[in-house]
Amino acid sequence: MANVAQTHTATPVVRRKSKLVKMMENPSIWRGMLAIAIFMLIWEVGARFDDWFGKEWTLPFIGLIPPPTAVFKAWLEILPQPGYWDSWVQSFKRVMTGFSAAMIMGIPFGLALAVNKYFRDLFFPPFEILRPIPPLAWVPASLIFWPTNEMSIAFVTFLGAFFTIVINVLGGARTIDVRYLRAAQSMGASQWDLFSKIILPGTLPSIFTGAAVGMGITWEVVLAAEMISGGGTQGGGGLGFFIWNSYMGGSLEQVVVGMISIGIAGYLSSSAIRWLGDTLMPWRRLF
Amino acid sequence: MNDMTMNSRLAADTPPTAQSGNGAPMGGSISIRNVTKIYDPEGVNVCAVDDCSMEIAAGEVCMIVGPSGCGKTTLLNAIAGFHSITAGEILLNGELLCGPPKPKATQGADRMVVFQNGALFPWKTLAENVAYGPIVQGRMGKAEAKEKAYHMLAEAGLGDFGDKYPGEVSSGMARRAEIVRALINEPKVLLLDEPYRAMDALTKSIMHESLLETYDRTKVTIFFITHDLEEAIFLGDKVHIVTTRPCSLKKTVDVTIPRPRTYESLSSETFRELMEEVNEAVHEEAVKAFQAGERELA
Repeated sequence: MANVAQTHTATPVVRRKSKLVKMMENPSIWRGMLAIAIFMLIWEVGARFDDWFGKEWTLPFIGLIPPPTAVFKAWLEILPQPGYWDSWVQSFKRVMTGFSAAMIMGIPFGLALAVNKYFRDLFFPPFEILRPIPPLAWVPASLIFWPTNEMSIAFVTFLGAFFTIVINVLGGARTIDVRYLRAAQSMGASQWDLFSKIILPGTLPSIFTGAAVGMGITWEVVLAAEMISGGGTQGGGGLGFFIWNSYMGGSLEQVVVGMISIGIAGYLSSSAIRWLGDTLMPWRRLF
Repeated sequence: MNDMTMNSRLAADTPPTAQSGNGAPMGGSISIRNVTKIYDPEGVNVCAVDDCSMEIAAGEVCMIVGPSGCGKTTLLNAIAGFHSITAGEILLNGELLCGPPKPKATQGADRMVVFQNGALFPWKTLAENVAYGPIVQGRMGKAEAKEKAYHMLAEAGLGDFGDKYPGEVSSGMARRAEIVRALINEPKVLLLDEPYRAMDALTKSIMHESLLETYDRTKVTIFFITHDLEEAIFLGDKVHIVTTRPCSLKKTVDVTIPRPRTYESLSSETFRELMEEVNEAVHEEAVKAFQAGERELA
């Protein structure tokens, strides 16, 4: 038993080392790092042009944004402040609330549309009329019919992900190979077996596609909603408000810090979805 | 390691089950009587099968050969219960499957289909795929079905692959597993729709050996659609050549080559003569189908 445990812990260590070495030997990694370095260099030089050659040398667009060194400095100053991290927490909370509500309601709704003709006939037409309305167009209306700003933001966020998830689930469930259904039915599967063992796992890839796209939309909507709703105790704060506030305060460095923070937050969210997808769909790891 | 030895001992000790070993016929006979199928999409009548009759005895390997798109699969779908028929009747062991007053057969585990491009559930391992039927039928508990699945996979030479997903094994292994998935349901008839299409000759020959071995063990009735004439004669007891659309029986060739067949049978004089006979009939229909296609385009 002890031997088994030892070999089990020993192998991954060796593998991890070789993985790192492999990564360092991969020219793509170096090219990517070189590309980022060059990008930073051009940004830095472009942004500092007017400092070096005088105001008439201010380059369009790039000359107006702060150089990366200044952004980095501003970031280091903000990092220890609890307010900055509070923005992260608030935005994440809103994204998760809207997104999970959209998943919890969108997946069963999409599946019901896919498997039941009557349900589809009844609910698909109104759904299709509501779907093209951009989530942000709902902001004024939701401000009116939800008691708090926070609930309005949650509702708008929910809408952003809901339609995408439903459309993906519906599409995925409707395109399941008919041979799988026939095979299962021939083997004597009941309606419930068909649903839980064939349609549901067959739709999982589409569910995760919908979730990935929906997560992106959710971040967009939350940020926009935070900018609109402004600060204060109700529905304020968040990374969107952080950016807006920095803009109003004239700190362009902090605006860029906020933008990059959103990039990182979005990346973390989609990584989480990818990880969950890999865990729930072990058969997909082969491809 | 321990599991493996236990499994092989199990295989040796357990008395032969209904479908393995004792040669008791589990096959059922099929009578196709004057079956006609007219598809009617948007008012344009397409006659896929026209007054087609054939008798398939219990435990017979019956090969259906005919031009592409002639309606062979329609016939198979009617037997399986995926589609209705317009006229005529189909009987299994003398009992009505479909025909007046019931245009569409009920789908059932007594007729298992192995599909053209393989239809193993990609989200289940091979063993889970095989165990699926007995579990949903409530015939076996999960553990029992799983054990039986491993056992049957081992019989088909797939003992080490039970925990693999279909995407992880070769197409040949996947097809063999699919036949195992069908057989665990103890079907009376195995319906195969060009199962070895798009396989290279080498894989195909291994598939044939495996199917013949399975057949010798189970004596299940096999209804096998193919385009490959060599395959048809090598595997079949009877080769039914059907006409181009609408599909009806053109000619039946009895394959007199004794069983068990090996690859040496392929070079025998009888095989060559049968090949010529089948080829001639099929070629005639292929030419007709080709010309009909040209007319439709013109």
